[in-house]
Amino acid sequence: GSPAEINILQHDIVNVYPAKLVGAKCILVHNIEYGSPLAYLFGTLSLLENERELYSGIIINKFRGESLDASDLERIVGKQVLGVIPYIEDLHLPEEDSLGLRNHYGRFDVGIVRLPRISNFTDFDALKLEGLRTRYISRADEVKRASVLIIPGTKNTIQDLKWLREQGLDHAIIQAADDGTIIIGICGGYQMLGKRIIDNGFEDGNEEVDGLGLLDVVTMFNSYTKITRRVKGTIIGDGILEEFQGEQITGYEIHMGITQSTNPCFLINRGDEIVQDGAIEGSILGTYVHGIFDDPPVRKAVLQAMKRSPNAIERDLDDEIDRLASVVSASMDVERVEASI
Amino acid sequence: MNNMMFLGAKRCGKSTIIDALRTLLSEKGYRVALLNKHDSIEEVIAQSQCEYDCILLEGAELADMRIADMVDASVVLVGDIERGGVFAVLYGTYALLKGQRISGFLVNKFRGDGKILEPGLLFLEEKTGVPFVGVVPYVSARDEFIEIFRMSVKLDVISKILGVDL
Repeated sequence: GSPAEINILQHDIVNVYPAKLVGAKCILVHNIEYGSPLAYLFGTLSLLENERELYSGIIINKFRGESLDASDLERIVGKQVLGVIPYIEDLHLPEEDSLGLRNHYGRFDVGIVRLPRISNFTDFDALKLEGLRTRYISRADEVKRASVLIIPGTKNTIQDLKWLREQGLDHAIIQAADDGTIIIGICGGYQMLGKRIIDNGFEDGNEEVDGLGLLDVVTMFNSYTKITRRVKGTIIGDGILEEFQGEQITGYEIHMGITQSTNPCFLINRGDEIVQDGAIEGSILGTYVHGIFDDPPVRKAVLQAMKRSPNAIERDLDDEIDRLASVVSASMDVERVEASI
Repeated sequence: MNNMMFLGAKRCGKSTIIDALRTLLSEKGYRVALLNKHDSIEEVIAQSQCEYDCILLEGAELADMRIADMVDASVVLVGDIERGGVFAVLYGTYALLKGQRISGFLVNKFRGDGKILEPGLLFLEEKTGVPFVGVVPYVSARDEFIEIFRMSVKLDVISKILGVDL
């Protein structure tokens, strides 16, 4: 927050107070995106009458113009401007406070592809239990910011796959898979991850389309039969599931189409029959079972894989902080800062 | 009858506030003109003299005070508390304008316990002699705004500034 929240000044131990304790100089930083730099800076220093002298200067942050003439500001506010730091596009840093999360442009944990005909919105809620941040994405440039990508169920696989291609999301998802991003397709999303989808007139007409080719499966729509049932299952897949083999999952199936796989994820007990479900290829997983995250094993598998992923957030953070540091040092009069303290 | 300008940063919610106030005034039978940036001020002033009871305007920068001068408007400073430093911005604007035309402060988008804010409101009122006309909570459902606005501003203070009876 601001150092001049006069309503809580007596209890404010995170701003000027520690500086007073250790006899440190302060620099007042203004986020110029919020506007009114004159009013903010002048107002802050006026309200901090007793602490004003601790401030050795001002830094303007997130400036989006060509150049800023700070002479009026220095004259009116009575402090030197030590730096004007430009706005840095696409900087992926963790949010400073909860209010920022709504406008989070940085990295996030789980990107859910916002298919136009998306179904089964509740599949991902359980991931939040693990503290993961989920977010819908619909543009190709958003894909690379996610550590896990989920392609959800849809009411029409072929139409939504066409939409995916129109957005350029297909290339972005394939690239992300190459980079080691964890990719999970559920139901329609599973069908899309396969090599080919053949509709013999039951989903949308007679049509054959290529899938994303990330899983070695083919889906056929050969009848109107819709499978709808609750299922129990056992993890049998390798890849990111390997350590959790033998653990139980529950969920439900609701889909048309049949997908043949040679490397399944789960052994599913439908009550009257036991079948294999899904396909897995390293960190790429497809399944017909909705609700797989509701039980701990698959959630845990995803979390564990995230930590090992080459896209782990920590790795990026170092690069981002270096980038920020180089911009800050280039746009600040470091000698003046040193002299002032 | 007086005219009124709401002065505050971009996206601080001024236009929603102005809309709500206009609705409240219209309900009481007052005829209100809104002045937008693109309108010709002279035209609105000429029109308002016979067709409207008062003009409500929006201002984003200190330079917009020129327009407040032209229509002789009282100014209410709007602070968006989501951004932090709301007292600094309100007091800074007041001080830079040397208090001229400033007849009220308003805090917008407040979340939480109003009691926490109170010492700050009192401090600023005492320091400037300018009253707070309200602390408006953060409202996510747009259609509820007018009702919440009505309950969270001091209508008597606004009435006094505008010379109306709300």
